[in-house]
Amino acid sequence: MSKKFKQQSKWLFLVLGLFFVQQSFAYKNVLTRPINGVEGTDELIEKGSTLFAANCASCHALKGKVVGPALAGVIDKYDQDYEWLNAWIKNNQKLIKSGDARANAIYDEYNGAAMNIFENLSDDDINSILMWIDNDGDGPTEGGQGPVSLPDPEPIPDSLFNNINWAIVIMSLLIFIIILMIFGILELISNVTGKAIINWNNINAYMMLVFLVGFFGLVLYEYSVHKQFLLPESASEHGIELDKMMQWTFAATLPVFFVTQFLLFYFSFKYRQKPGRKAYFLSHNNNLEYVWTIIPAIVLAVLVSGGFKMWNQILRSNAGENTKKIEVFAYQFGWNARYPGADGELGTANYNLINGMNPLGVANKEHATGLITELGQDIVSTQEAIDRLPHELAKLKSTLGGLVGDDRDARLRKIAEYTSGDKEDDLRLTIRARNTQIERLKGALKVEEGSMFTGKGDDDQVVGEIHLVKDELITFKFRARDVIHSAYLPYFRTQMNVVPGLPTEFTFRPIKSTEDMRLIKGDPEFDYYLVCNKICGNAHFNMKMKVVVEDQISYDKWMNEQAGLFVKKEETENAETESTEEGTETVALN
Amino acid sequence: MSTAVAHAHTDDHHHHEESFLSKYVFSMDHKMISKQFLITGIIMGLIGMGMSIAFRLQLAYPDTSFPILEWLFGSKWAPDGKLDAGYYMALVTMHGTIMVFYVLTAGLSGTFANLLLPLQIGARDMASPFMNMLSYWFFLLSSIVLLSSLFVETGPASGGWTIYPPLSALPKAMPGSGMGMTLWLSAIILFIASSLLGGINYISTVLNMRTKGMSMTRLPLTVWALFLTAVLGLLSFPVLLGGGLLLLFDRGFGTSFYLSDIYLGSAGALEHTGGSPVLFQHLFWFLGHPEVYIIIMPALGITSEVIAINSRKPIFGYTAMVISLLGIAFLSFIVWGHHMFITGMNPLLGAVFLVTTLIIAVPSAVKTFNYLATLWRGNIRFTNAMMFAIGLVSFFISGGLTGIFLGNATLDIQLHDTYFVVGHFHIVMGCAAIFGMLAGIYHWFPKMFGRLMNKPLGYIHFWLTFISAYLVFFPMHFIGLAGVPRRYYAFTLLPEYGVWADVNVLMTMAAILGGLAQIVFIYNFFSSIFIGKKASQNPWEANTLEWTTPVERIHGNWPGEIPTVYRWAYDYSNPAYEEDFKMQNIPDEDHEIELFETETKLTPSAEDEPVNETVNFFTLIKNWFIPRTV
Repeated sequence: MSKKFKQQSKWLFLVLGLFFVQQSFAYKNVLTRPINGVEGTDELIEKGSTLFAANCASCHALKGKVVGPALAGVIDKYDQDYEWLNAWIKNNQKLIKSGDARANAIYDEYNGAAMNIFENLSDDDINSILMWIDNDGDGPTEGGQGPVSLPDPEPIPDSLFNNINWAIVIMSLLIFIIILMIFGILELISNVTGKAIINWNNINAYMMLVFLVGFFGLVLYEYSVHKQFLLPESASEHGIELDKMMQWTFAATLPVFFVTQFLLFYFSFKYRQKPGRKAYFLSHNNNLEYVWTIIPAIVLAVLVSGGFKMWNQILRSNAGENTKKIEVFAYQFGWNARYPGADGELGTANYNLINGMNPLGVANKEHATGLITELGQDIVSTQEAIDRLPHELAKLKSTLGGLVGDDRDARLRKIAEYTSGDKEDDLRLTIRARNTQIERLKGALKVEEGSMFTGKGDDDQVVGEIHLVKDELITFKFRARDVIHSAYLPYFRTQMNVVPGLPTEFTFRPIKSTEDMRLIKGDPEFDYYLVCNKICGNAHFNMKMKVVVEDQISYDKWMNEQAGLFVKKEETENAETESTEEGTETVALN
Repeated sequence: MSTAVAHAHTDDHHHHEESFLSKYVFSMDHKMISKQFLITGIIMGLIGMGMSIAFRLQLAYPDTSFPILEWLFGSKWAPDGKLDAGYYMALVTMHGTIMVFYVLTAGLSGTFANLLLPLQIGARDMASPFMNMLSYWFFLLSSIVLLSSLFVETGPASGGWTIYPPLSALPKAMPGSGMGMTLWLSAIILFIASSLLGGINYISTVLNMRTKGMSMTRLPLTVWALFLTAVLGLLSFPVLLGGGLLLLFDRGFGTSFYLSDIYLGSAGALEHTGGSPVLFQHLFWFLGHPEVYIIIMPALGITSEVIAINSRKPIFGYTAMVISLLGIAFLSFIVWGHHMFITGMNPLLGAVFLVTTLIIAVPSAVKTFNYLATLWRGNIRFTNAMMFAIGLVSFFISGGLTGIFLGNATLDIQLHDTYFVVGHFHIVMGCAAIFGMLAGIYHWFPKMFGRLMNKPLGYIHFWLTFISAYLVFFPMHFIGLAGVPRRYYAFTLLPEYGVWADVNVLMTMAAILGGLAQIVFIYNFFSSIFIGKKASQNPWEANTLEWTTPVERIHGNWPGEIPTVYRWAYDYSNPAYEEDFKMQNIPDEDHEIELFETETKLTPSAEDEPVNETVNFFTLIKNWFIPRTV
């Protein structure tokens, strides 16, 4: 697709967009070619959009690098090699190990920060995602930029940067020098006449007063402007109490803030140096010290006891024992939730069981056996990769001759990786880790009593958004796949870190449904989101999951659409055909 | 050479013929070492501040291209003039590390402990000048190692300055956890070595080398603050050293101190099992919280001194000030858990830390009120240093009060890791400590370089910095209360936070203004070294011993004998004397009285503050605490 055509089509669709912007159907097929032999349809592109948002958007945008590269034009970048693209998207690590040149080039370019595995996506899914990408994403019909495509950076015009800014720099330098000179002259005069021309002491004393007024003024002004955004309406039961506590703390601290700041600047002004005055000699007054030790101590004791009580209530009461439990699972870079399914019990899960088809590692005997085979194959392919190393090294060396500059440096570094044995060590460590994992799995399979393969997890539903029933107590059981994340739900006044190897939980009662909150906020688009609040990698800022609070009826309806993880095949297919129109939660696992 | 420094100075006090190397580079003179610390600290500070402006640009204008960023960081980290998401994290991490450790720990304590301890207690030099020199060189080496990580292929450490594992332990978890992280850890280990060498030295100097008459109760508050800071550092830095070494083991040698149950997207299920990421957080914050006080206590000490001198009044409640410093120093060791309320630590433990954390607010409050009482009915001279000291008190109040929110575990559920936290700690330890440092620089510049800094430029510097600092950090409280998480590169997927875009622009503008103000300071500082007005021996009419040394700053500090001390450091405006200050080394001619004790009798104006000495509970306690004779 030529650039010119793209430009034209953009304009065309901007105009069209004005007509169709009210239509719920935002996808206009502008595909000029079939993708992997499939003609593009609006439905497929829409499906691609949903899949992209659920699986890709945390790391990729159409334009501009996020963590992974920009994806606009990705099909032409890889010469419409759909087989390769499918293989890469499904399991890029397998492809890298197979020694594929392009895969390894990407891997090197991103310093070994590998992409997640998406074996849960079918070929059709991938086609529809590619279709959506080739269709310019949500395209110009949505008024320019969809939520997932970073807007084009607007470059500052060169002329502005070159002319005006330098002029400003020179101007401010001149002003600075002039100020310096004026001060110098004034000081000279005052040295000659013996009288101070500028009474800095008074100027600064008055400035203190001005600052005090300005400071308080701005604080109050900002409060008046922003108070509508502060502490959004609480959507959970304990949140209301927490907000009260916040108000009490404000009540205790704000007067202190205003009084002490006032005294500080007022004293500075009032007791500025005046000729002939001597300061009042007062070295200490223990009664005063007692007063301002004991009063803060009492105030703080009150706050402590309040906070202590509520903290215990929120986090240490046993209210969570008989509640509905769902698992919230965090990974780089996204969230999943797991519902217990029909049996009402969450099955055991283990990180050793995680793979593309079972992203949460839920225990299932068949899956575990399959995984052992898969790991065995992985070991074989890794071993092959080791065997290929000398050959690859020879190739790298033989083509070194023609390279210059940065390319040559990069190549030399790569060769060093091979010759130092780092590369081989890395692969050998992988084999060792896989062997350990196989042993662990075999061990777990052998266990008779207390085995984790109870089958309780077979009907667990793994979903890409959380649905909660209004007014029902809920316990989130947190589990992390890789690094520490933090589950933050500002509207529910809920936050808890999600730590690998350490189970954490949080129990709360949502009391405002999404609809209620939309009415309160007057925003029909509003949704609750679970966001990550602990630095977890480069795409930390894109980790979010939708949380829907609804009534029992809509909850049940949604729940029925969710298929169990290891339910027999026919059932799954049925469930999937049922839910094709509704959404893609079942496929949007990762 | 070292023997010469240690004792030969009593009779041989004229200048040695010193080579350039031994005078300016491998100097063992505490005054030169303090300048080395200061100038390195200023350079690191400028780098750290520059980084903050770069990432503030990203926050304010996420869609705009700034060619200057590409010019600065190269097309790899700022393609098309837009900061890369990973490099944003790296800049945030490096900014935090540089500011906390390199500027506000080494730059502040290193400078003023070295300069002031020997001068104010009346010693010729540190207890071990050689160790002192090593301390600086370890610090410089550490700075170089840290900065070198900016040039590593995978970029510098980018897991936040708190480097929580597993993110920091697994090179495959993010690019910044590769070589950059190794360099970060190496730099910090060197830094800790520097800090320990310095700390041992400061403590032994204060305890053993005070001049005749300089009892602990006559020490200026700067010395108390720097002494307790050194104690804190000595007790807490080794813990981070241990924690950091274990992290290095986890990274390099396959141990599992902090790692367990991990499946990494790029490596599959890892072998590590049995470790706990929370363990590292305990070790880190066991240093990390005392570190906050390591940063702020010297600044408070400097402020006490500067406020007393320039109000021409004794510091109000010297004993209370010392007791509150001791209280803060002790309590700072048992509050680290308030950084970890919601990390999955047992909630019972959280409740305990809630109590200890809010207790520490009491000594802090006492200090603030004492500063206000010192200003009250003073005769205030607005020197540049005084301005910054007043600024510090203002920041200490604003930031201290928001600490009461965050120390409350319940409220921390909502506020943890939001911009509220960023606003809080930047005001209470960032700005306050920087202002303390600047107050110290303006105040002791004559002692370091024998010249005065340009006063009008100092005022311009103060007002611009003060106003811009509040403009940058005050709105953050509002943003945080609205629930906006910190360390977000952009709000692409969370359009709800778009309402703060204009506030972000304001904050970035203010940050740039603050950055420009520092150019004024840099010009003032470096030009004054060469062309500043010549200072007199005691330009601020202060009482402490450093102002009895000659302006020429000789090796060994005093040309003759070390002065003897006859009084406490705060005899300002004492009605018993004609002039409004009485230096510590001047003996009382007529009566050997301790004015500190009998001040009520000496105050003639009884109608101002009648003190009724009736016997009650308080006076009993008072008499118990303060014996009649000092």
